[in-house]
Amino acid sequence: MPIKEEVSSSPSKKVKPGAHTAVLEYQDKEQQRQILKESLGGARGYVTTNYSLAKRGRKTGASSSSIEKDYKEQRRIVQALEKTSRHLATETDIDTILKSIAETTAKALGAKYVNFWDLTPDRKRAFVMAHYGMQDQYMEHSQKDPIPIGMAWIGRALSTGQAWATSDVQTDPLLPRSWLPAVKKQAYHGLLCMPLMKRDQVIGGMCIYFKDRHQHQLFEFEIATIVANQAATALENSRIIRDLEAERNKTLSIIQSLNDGLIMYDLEGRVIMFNPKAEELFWIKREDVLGKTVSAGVSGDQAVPFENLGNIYNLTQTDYSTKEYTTVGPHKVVLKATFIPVRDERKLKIGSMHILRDITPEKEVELLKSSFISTASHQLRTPLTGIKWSLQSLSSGTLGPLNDEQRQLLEGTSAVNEHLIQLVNDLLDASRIEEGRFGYTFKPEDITPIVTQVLDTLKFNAQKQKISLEFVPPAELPPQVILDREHIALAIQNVIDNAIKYSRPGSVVRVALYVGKTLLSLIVQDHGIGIAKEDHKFIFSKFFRAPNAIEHQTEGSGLGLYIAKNIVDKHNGLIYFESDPRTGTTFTIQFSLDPKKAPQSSSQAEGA
Amino acid sequence: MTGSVHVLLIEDDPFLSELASKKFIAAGFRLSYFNNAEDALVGLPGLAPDIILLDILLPRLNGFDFLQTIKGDEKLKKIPVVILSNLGSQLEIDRGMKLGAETYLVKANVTLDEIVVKVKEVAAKHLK
Repeated sequence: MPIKEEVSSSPSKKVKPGAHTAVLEYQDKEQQRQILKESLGGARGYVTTNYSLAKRGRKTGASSSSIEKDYKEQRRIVQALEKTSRHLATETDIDTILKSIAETTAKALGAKYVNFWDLTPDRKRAFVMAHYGMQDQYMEHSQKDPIPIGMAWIGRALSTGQAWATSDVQTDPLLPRSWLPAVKKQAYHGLLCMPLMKRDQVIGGMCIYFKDRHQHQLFEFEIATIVANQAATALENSRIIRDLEAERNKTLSIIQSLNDGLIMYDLEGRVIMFNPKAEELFWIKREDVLGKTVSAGVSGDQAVPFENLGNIYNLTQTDYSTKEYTTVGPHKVVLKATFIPVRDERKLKIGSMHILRDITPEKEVELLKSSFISTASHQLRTPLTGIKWSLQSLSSGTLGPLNDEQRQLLEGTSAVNEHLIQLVNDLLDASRIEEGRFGYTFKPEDITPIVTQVLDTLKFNAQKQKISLEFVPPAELPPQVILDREHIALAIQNVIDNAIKYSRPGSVVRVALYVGKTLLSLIVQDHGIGIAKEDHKFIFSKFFRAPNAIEHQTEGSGLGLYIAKNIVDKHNGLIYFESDPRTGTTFTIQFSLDPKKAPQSSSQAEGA
Repeated sequence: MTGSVHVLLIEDDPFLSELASKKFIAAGFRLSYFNNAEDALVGLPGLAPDIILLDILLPRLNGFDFLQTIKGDEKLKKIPVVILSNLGSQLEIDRGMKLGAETYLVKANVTLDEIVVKVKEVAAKHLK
């Protein structure tokens, strides 16, 4: 009996992706014509042996009883297919699905066993993953000792991507002789093996075992093909779900072990995720918050955690922005809260989350540093005062007359001492800003007198440096703005003081106030040394002094603009500059005239 | 008239108090001096100064507490107090003013001349 042994060559080309219906190619020449007559289209398969078994009534023409029998058979098969579809729709567990399909198929086709085969990860072997009718030990055995791909009918079906069948395994020469005892023990003869295909790929197999010698019929192939397609879909789905679950578990375990707190909310503001770090930060168990809205607050012993959660939820934040939050209650932590929108794959917002980083240790170091600066500066102030007052007593002449040289020396010493005092003042201001105890009191104020007062105090400095200090008052009376008078005066003073310090002798520093529709602008223009482009981004940084500034004026704390920016920011204002080392620098401070953008005098919390 | 103005200085730093004392005496004031607020509180009723120059960071009783005590005393609360301290944050200034100080001077930021001018100003207002 000639057998086509081309099992390992690329087999699946003849198979349409996703669906293969059967056309049978009989290897037995005598049978071939008969079978091909019956094939009406679809995919191909191999029948290694097909006996023409006389079937009662089958070939005797269309007697009414045979029509009725055919009809009944068809109905049974349609019902069976319908049932397998239902398994797909209602079950999620792949074992249950495959077992049910196996059972339905076996019953519909009058088979003894039906089983499904899976491939080993290297795709070189196959083993039974689900069955109907067999003893479980056969499945276990096949899992321990999988069949090589290409061997026997299932192995060939898997390697060729086509159906392989035989009317009688026991007499078919393809059966390895050593297998015969096992086959005899299982007592089957007819066998049909189908590959499970998905997108041109063999993902598994299915075998149908018949108790007796079996003449394969086209309709059986067709049913087996449909069942195989359904099983393939189910298997594929279950693998996708398994992969998704693995992915989800991976993500979840990352979230669980994350060193940042994570709170996820749905669109209604209910907490839908709360990781262990969040439990630790807020001293509350996840089961106490999951599914609850945190904005409402609760009473009782969960009041404090809920107050913190509510406060964080209510932080007004734009997407991906970060805000600091210090928790209330006994377990004080400082958190950096980043707000992140959560979107589905269509980019629709489905919720949001907060990532919470505990920055308490950093804050403690910052405070320590700041309080060190504060203490050290205070300690420095007393001796500096002593020096200042002594020098002044000496130069007043009350302790005796001074000659010119002595007077000059005293003036020089006084100037140096004043620089030191200013440095200490700046350090103190900077540390107060950082400790959040700069103490703002906002009131509606007229800006013009504040500016003129600052100009008054700087007049002397300007004269000494031969700078002419000009003020251009606004064309119309500016409306009042919400300000902290003392602090904004300090900011303005720092900016104008810089303009004077870094001007060339004989040049003009022009200070102007402009009232616009929505903004009030203070412009300070000098013709000084300018700021090099590469230094622009550092100009408001603490302790930064541009190289040309150091060269021009050795004294300076590098804190003036840092302090000014901090103050202007607190006023919800803007401070920016344009500069060119050839022409000088123009600084602009802007305040919004929109009352909605006015700063809030909230900062009692900032004090103490 | 300044000759009759009696200044009470409360300052714990000996060098600064010496400089200030010399200045006030040279400027024609009468001067009493304590290096701590507790003793000042005891001595105050007998001295009846026209004006008090008060430091804040003092051993034991601090200047704020001293200020609060005398402002709660019917007889003493009329004496004007000028705070002269090296504490100079807005919060501290606000606190001192709220407790009833006439003015708040940050030592390192003023000269002795400026202090004298300020004291004269305040005293004149109250002696009227």
